[in-house]
Amino acid sequence: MSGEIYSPRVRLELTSRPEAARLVRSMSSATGEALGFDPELMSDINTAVSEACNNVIQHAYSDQRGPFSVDLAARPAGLDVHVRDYGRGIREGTPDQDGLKVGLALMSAVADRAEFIRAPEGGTEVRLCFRGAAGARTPAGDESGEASDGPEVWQARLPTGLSGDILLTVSPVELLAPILGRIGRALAPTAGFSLDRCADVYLVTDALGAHAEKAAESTSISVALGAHDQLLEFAVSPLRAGTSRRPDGEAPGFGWRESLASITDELTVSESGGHELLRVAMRDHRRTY
Amino acid sequence: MQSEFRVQTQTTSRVTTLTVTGELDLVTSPVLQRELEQAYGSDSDLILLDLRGLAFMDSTGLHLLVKAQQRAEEAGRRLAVTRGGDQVQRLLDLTGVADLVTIVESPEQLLEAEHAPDGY
Repeated sequence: MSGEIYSPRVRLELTSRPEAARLVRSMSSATGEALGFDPELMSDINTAVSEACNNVIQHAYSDQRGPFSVDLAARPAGLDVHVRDYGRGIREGTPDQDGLKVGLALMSAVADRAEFIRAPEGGTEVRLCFRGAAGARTPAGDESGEASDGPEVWQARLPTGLSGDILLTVSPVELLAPILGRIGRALAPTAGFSLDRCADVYLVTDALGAHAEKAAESTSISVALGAHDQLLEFAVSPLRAGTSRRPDGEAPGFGWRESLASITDELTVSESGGHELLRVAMRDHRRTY
Repeated sequence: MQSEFRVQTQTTSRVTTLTVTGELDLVTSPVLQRELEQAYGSDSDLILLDLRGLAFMDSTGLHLLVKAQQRAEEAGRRLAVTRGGDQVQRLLDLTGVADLVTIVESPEQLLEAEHAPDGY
C-alpha cells in the first residue's frame, strides 16, 4: 500500500451530554455536504448517528456522563460511521428497552450494514456503512474499499496537548472550515450567545479554517472546542512553527491575525512538541451579565 | 442553517394547532410534551401538530407522537399531524407510525374536511 490514497476522515470526541447528538448531526451534515452526498442519504446518516448517540447518552453510562467518539471515514465502498463509547455496553435490563430497540432497528433499517459490538475492553462500538455514499467526492480505490489509512495511522496523528469539551479532527484540512462552522454554530446557543454573535462564529471558523489550510503541519488538523457562559473557545493544532506567532517588526502575511483579532477577544499562540497551537476565545459582549 | 426549536400554539374554538420548527430530539421533546399536555387540557376536540417546519426528528420524537396519539384518545381528543419533511416522513413510514396517526398534507386540508357537510 502506498499510503498516498486520499481518504476524507472526520472524528469528533465529546461527552455524552443530551445536546451531543445535535453536535454530531452538525458534523455529519457538514461532512456530507462537503463530500457531495445526496440529501436523502444525508437524512439516513443523520437518523442513524442520532440513534447511536442517543444510545450512548441514555444507556452507556447510566445516569452519568462519559466520553464517546464518532468517526466518519469516506472509503471507495461508501461511508463508514463508527460510534464508540466506554460504558457498560448494550445489555438486557437496560431502562427504556423499547426505546433502545427502536433505535437499533432504525439504524439497521437506514444503513446498508449495522453492527453492534461489545468491545472486549469495555463499552460498545456501533459500526454503520452507507454504500450510497460511494461515488460522491469519496476516494477512488480498489473494490475492497480498504485502501485508505487504517485506524492505527489515524489515531497516531491525533495531537496531544489539546484539551476541551469537544475535540474535532479532520483530514484533509480543507474540510475544517465547513465542519467547524456548523459545530461552532450549533454550540453557540449552548454558550448563551445572542443571534448576532452566533453569526460571528462562522467568520471565526472560516478564518481558522483558512489559516489551517496554509499552516497545518500534516494532512490532518484538530480543534478543541469549549463552550462556557458567554464564551466559546477554539484551539487549533498542530500548526507549523512560525506560521501563527507574529514575528517582531514588519511581517507580511499575517493580515489574517488582525482579521481574527477584530472579531475575537483573545488570540494566543503557544508551542508544544515542535509545533504551534493557536487559541482564540470569543465572548458575547452584547449580553448583559 | 439550523433553526432553533420552537413550538407555537394557536387555539380556536375547536382546534388547537401546535406548529413545530427546528429539530425534535432528546433535548427538545420535553418542550413539545409540555405544550401537548396543555392542549389536552383545553376545550379543543382536535389537536393538530404542524410538522412542516420540522427539519429533523429522532426516535424520541417518534415515541412522543405515539404517546400523544394514545394520550389524545384517553383525553377524548383527536390528534392529526401534517406531513413533515422527507426525513420526518421516512421515519414515520419506516416504523409504521404513519399508519397509527392521521396525517394530512396541510392544516387547511384538515380544516376544510372538518367544515365539509359530511364532516371529516
